[in-house]
Amino acid sequence: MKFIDIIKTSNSNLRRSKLRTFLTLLAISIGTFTLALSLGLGQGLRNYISSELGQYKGVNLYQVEKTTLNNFSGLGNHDPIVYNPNKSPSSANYQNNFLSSADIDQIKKVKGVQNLELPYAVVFDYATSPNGTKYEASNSTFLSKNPLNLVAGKTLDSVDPGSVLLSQKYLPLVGANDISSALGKSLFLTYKNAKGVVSTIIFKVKGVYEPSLIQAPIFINSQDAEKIATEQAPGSSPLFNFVFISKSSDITDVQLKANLSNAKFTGRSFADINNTLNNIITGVQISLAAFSGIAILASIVGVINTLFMAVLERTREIGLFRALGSKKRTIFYLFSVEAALLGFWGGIIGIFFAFLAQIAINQIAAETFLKGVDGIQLLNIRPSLIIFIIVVISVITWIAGLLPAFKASQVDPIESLRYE
Amino acid sequence: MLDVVNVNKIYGKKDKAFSALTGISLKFKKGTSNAIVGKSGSGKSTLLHILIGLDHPTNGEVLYNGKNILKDMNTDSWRGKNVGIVFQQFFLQPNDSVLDNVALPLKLQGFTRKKRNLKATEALKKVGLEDRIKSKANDLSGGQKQRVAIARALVDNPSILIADEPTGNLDTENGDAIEKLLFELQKKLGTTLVIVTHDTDLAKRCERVVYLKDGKIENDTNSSKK
Ligand SMILES: Nc1ncnc2c1ncn2[C@@H]1O[C@H](COP(=O)(O)OP(=O)(O)O)[C@@H](O)[C@H]1O
Ligand SMILES: [Mg+2]
Repeated sequence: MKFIDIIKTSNSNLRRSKLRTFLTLLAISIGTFTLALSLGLGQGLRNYISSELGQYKGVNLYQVEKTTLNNFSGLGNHDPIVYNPNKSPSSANYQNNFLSSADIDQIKKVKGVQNLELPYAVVFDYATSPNGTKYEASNSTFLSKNPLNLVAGKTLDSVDPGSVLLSQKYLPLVGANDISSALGKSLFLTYKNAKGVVSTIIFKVKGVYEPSLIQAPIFINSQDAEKIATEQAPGSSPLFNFVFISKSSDITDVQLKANLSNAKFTGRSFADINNTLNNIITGVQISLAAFSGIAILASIVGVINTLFMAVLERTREIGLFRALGSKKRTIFYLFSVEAALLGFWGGIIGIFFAFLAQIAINQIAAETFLKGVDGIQLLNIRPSLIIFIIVVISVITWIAGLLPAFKASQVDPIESLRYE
Repeated sequence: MLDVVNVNKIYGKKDKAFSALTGISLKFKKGTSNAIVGKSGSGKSTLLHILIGLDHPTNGEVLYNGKNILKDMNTDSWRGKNVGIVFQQFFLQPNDSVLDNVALPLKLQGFTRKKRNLKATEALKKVGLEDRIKSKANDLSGGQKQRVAIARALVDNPSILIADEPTGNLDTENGDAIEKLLFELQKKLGTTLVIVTHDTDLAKRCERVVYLKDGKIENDTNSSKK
């Protein structure tokens, strides 16, 4: 029998018991529907993260903080801890685990550390646009290694007082209509010092960059940042939870982290952060896929049952086929292909509905909780994922059909053609 | 052409053993019509199944042109190419068209659809059903169903045509018509015909009649003529 005829015959055999086939396909399609959605969700998040953090790929930038979390023992639900002058406090101070200037000097001396930069935290009350509108002005201090996608102008130099970089979305703050006209415009930023005295400082826009979820909309130069942060500090100088460093080229990533760790500091590169996020997504994805696995498992039982019933119903036909010259092998193929086709069609149906759901969910997400966040597709069922799922589900149901198909091939033609 | 050599068939084992066929030797010559007759339980069906390689003899062998059909060839392929079978109960695929029913053995052998339909139409012409090609098999009368079954058996011009009580499920009128058709086609196509029946009138229309009793050959008109 030609393989194409085996497929056609098996396929038309599916139509012989329509209700039974329908119910089996329903079960399989529910499994593939949830599988497609959970894998599609993971892919969507992964794409988003790599588009956001992709610009950090290969960037030589580490965030360094004190190592405390490894002796973290819960915030308050523990017995009193006896003070130990040689050990940093466990949990009580973990939120305000500031680096002393001695700590910062120590970090600088760790082998492999270079170009330490301080992330000054400056709070502006508002920015005043030329037409008098006041805007919030969240910002970061510019780090020399921070990878920004500039669309106009120049990035900041390491010493560049009076300059800022502005996100493309923040042009109204300087009264500009387009990117290039923003360059050189004045940005009026107002802040209070530690004593509550209000002052306004004028910056010049030196460059405009593409907005991104993890980048602040305004970057100010570190000289002005240091000056304002010092004015705003409750004590004599600003405090830092962490600092940024670069790795010198004569040392590996692992060695640098080990050196920092020996000095009781923890260093994390942006690649690490990316990996951590990806691991979390993979975890979520696996647990969601496990649920669909249960649905698929249940549908496998349905496939086995469906095929055993088909074998029973068609014993006489099997006997006839054998009497007309069919090999056992052909009978085996007919039934196992029928099982694979159940998976194939169930997969197609499940993915079709997953696709409709994807369109609806992405639409709803874009209009509600992801409003204003550009470029995120919550669900992303890619063509390769579709092919993967259909192949996998067909193979799974094919395997489920092996035993019934074997039973079909062993039908004794004499017995089955006996007429009583 | 088809030789049965010293065939025994024993069902069961030891004290439950039952000998369904004992020392059967027969030679079927090319283009002849043969009948195997006997009472119910005499071993006719068992012999027929062994003859077409669906069943294994306990001893002895069946040779096709000198070759053992079980050992020297792929039995299923041999049966598909060289043997046509007509059953008492027709065994058509009830929901398939007449054409698809007749073309089924060709499909199992791997012919293309075009070739299948061509040959099946030709076979249906031979049995006078060319105008029912598209009908559902189930919509036909008993006599017509058996004609379809004959067309199916002859569709690939087999050298051997086996008929197991071909008229057993038909009234006299239809039965006579089917008998006539069978012999007519057998003559025309030069097929070796082996009919299994308990109908002695049908048997007498064959050139040779083999009488079976309790699994043994009681009488063979071939040998008595000699
Ligand atoms: N599978 C079997 N197991 C045991 N005995 C069988 C089997 N098939 C047939 N027989 C016995 O063999 C004998 C011949 O049967 P069969 O060839 O069907 O006779 P017929 O077709 O002439 O009526 C009968 O007595 C029957 O009971
Ligand atoms: Mg019988």
